[in-house]
Amino acid sequence: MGFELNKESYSGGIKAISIGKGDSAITVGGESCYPFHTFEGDMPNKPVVAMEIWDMEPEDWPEPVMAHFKDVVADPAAWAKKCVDDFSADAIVVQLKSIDPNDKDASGQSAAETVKKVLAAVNVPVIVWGCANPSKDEEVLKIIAEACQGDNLVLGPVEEANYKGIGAAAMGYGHAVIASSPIDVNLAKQINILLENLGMPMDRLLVDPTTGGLGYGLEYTYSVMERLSMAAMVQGDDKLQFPMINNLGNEVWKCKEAKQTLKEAEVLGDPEKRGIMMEAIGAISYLMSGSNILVMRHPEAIRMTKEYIDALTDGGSLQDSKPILKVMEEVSVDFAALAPPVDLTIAEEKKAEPAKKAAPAKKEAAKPAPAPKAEKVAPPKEEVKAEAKPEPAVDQEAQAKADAEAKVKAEADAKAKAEADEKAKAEAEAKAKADAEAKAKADAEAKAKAEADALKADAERREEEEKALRRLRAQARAAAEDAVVSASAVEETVTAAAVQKTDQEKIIEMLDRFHKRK
Amino acid sequence: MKECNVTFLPHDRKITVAEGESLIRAALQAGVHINASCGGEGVCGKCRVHVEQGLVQDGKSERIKQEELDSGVRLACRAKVTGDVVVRVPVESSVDKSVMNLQATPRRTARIQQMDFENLKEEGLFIPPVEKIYLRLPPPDAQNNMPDVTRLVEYLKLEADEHKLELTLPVMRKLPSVMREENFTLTLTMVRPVRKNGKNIILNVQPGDRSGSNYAIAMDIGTTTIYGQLIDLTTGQCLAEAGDFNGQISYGEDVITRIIYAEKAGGLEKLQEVVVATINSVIEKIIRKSSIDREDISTITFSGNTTMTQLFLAIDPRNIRRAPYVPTATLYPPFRAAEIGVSINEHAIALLYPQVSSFVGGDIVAGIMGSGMYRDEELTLFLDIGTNAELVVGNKDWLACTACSAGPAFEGGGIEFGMRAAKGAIEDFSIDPITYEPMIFTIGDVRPKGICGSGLITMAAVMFEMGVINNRGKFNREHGTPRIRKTNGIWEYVVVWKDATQINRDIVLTEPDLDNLIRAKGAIYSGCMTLLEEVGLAMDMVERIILAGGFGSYIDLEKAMTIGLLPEIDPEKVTFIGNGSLMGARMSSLTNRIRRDVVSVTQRMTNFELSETPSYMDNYIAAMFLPHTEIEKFPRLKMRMEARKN
Repeated sequence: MGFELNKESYSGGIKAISIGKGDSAITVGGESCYPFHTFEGDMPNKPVVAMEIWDMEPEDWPEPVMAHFKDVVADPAAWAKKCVDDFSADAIVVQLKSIDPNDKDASGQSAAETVKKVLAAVNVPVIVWGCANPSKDEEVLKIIAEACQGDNLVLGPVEEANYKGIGAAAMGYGHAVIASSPIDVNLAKQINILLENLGMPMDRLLVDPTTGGLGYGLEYTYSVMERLSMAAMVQGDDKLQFPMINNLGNEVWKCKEAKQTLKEAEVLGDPEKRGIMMEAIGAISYLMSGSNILVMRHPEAIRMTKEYIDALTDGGSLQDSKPILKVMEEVSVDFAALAPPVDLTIAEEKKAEPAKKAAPAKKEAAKPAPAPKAEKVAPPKEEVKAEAKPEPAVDQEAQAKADAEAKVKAEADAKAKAEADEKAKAEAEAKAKADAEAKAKADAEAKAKAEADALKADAERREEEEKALRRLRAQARAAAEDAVVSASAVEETVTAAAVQKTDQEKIIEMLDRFHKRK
Repeated sequence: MKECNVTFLPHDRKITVAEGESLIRAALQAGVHINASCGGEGVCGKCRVHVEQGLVQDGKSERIKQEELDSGVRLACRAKVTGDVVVRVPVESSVDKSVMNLQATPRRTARIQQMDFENLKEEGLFIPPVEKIYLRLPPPDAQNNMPDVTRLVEYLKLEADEHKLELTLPVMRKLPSVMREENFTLTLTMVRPVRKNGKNIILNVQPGDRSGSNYAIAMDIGTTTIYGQLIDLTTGQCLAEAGDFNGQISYGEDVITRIIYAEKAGGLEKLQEVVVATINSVIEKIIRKSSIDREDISTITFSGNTTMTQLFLAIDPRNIRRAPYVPTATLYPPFRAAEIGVSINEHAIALLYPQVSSFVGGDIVAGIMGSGMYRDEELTLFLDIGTNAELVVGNKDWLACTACSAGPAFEGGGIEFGMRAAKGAIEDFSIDPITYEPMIFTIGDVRPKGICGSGLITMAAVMFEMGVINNRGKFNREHGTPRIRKTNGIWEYVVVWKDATQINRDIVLTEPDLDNLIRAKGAIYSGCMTLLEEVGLAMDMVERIILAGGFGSYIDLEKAMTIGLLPEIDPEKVTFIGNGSLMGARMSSLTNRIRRDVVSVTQRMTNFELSETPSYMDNYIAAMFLPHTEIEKFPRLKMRMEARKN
């Protein structure tokens, strides 16, 4: 029998949603498998990269990004055009930074004009992103929706506080919306339900799970997106089967580390590469958890991300991928000089340790020592049991089965465990002794000598440990092989336990364990 | 009593009610909406209906013109049904029939489970922990001059087959005079042991035959209220009942603030003093009501949550509120109640319900014992709804429990016009789906003063189903009715305009009120789900739900399911036991069996700390939606909502 890949079976897929107008329209989503699991299903539309432009001149963009856009930041239309022509952006995101009531508080009309200019300049879908002030966004996006009727914009972020206003405008003037929720599966679903109940057509909905930058909550967003994908695909939850969009560039480039110059943070290395890598790594992480549209900023990060997407979907190697094309001058940092001086006072610290270790050694050794072995043996054992009954559980059950194989195995287990215990004990004693010796000597003799001794004792102990581990592994392997052999030999003769446990008995057993009654 | 058929047109809904019922209550039961806002005092004049066939009594008003009266117009809230009638409800707006038929689900309240004393007797479980025995001893003479105590003990051994007897010093002191007062006839009060091999303790001796007067007091020490019952131990009857607010309220409304107070110097003693004072006032009330002799009360059984129990006994509760939340004890020995200042005869013994954990206390254990859940085969979910909701799931073989903080919304706390279930509280509600005009019902049919917990649940449920509020409890602001308005930046619905109230202010339901309600129901529902998940069960495997708490009897179960407070199950599966804690206290004064079983029951109860269960927060956020983020869990509601949409 050849190797067979275990495949996930899905009960749902992501809706394919078309954004943009006419020839410039693109389709996102539509996959029927986890991200890039094309061996399990289809991923008809590659994730796309949208580039962000601002409707005002950014003041706090760090030099490495600014260098690419200096010539166009004053003119959103030219900026958008540059993104599409020079950096092959799949879509443009207009970040309405100017409307923020805490900043410039620009009017809806001026924002609408900017959007219209951008629309005229490019032939890719345009996404309009508000300032995340719910009431101002509602006010402005309603005006834009009306002014750009028929242009099939994507409007967002839509939150619980403004879904009615923006939703109604998007429905009326034919735009799509981005439902936004603060990094929570349930809240994401709730805003989708609210929009659906409002009457928003569900083929015009994207989901923004709220994006965290690298080092600033990326893992939260990642795991929520993973769960959203799982709910959509495996549980077939039709309220969550929408393409996801991540407003990534904005998050990455506003963090301290992306902005610090070489002088401010020398240990972080080349400030240009640093920000680019942070954005690219963030992008790849979100691709892995199911992102369909990445909103990005730096051309080099975008190039690498696109190469990555192509390699994963079309195949190929990234070995030929070009290194980051720098526009700023090379920097060289002498990291060795920056490194803190080596701490050579190890011996003294070691001395404190024996006392601590000697006591718990016995206990600890007794427990963890057999653990790796148990793990090794576990898989085949579970396989055998899995056929016998649906829920393989505690060791007691295995013994209860009491067929010949199990007995042999149990004996082997017991023996191995006893050996391991003995070894662990011996080891602990040896260690204690060695350490104690080291300590006595250290007290009596010069510090240097003590250091040498301690190091030696350490080395001995390590060797001892390694030897023990090797022996254990060998045993475990032998046991596992035995188990496999015996398992395959008796495959046909495995029968269910004479008395099957009821659900109730299982619950009681679990509660007893939880309650430490047994 | 005569039954009358009432038919409402144009809805064509029929209902059978008892003679004398008001037309408007009949309409409520039939799920027919009639605008009404004064609670049935007849002052608003909104609930006009047209009686087309049959006759009703009263229902006339100066607000109805004579010719209208002649043609059959009446006020539904004042008109009483006296026979079969057909009533036409005027429809202000062009509501079509299909919408009207979807107006409201008929009211469903829980079956009430009462303690079945006869059953107890049949099963041979009627063994009060304290018994009285009447004795006629032979008087001493020259041949038989053994000491009084020996005489008593010997007689008990030989004639009454009572062994392992123990006398206390106070009894010995009384014995010589009591024996001689009525010619060596006397009544013994004896405490039975919990286990077979224990000793029988002679608590008291009284002259003559007093065996027919054996009483016990059962008492529930709640955080907010203390209830007591006087129980006749010969018949099992409850002779009197009384309640009072726990005097500790002035030192903090919840258990945590009280623990903090108890940690101050003298705080613990103070809290014990005031709770004992409240207990004494309740005892005085029930003794006065039943006019019995205080000396005939020999037992007093208490149940209370862990904090209340420790404060009552003046045991420092500081560790209850500190992780890892350790109570001082689970089991407490019997003691003489008078020792800690309870105003009861000094021989009377106090029995306390054991605790499970810091937040699952004796009140819940009492509920489990009182409801008999611990002896049932059926898989039962026990819900005690209060400021703190306690949940227990299991059957006779296993029990798992947890506690969650719901907040005071169900008791009227944290709600702008919230109040306790008392006269003038809005307890039921309906709304016209087109005009958003309300129909309200108050306790006692008087002008409204506020909204009680069950009224709040019904309001939220009805408004949600009618589309007045969305899944988040936010009002439909585009409707245009003056009843939905923004005051000081807060959106609210005017339930009653001020001229129809008792308080001369508009009674409103605000969005923050609804937020509090959603949080409270979310906490309880997610608590249930998390507990079930932890033991590997699903809701549909639960065969019975027992509801306990001060307000549960009035809950409209369908409405509670509509807002997602209760999971959607067959209302027939739900039983209501009222104050479960008091019920348990009463049971344990009637049967020693409970005292024996309770130890093993508490040991069997596995406590789950929700704060340490990661899935709880997830479940909680999912439940913070009407009815729930997963509408599939509420199939009946889903069907109704889809039917309404089309």
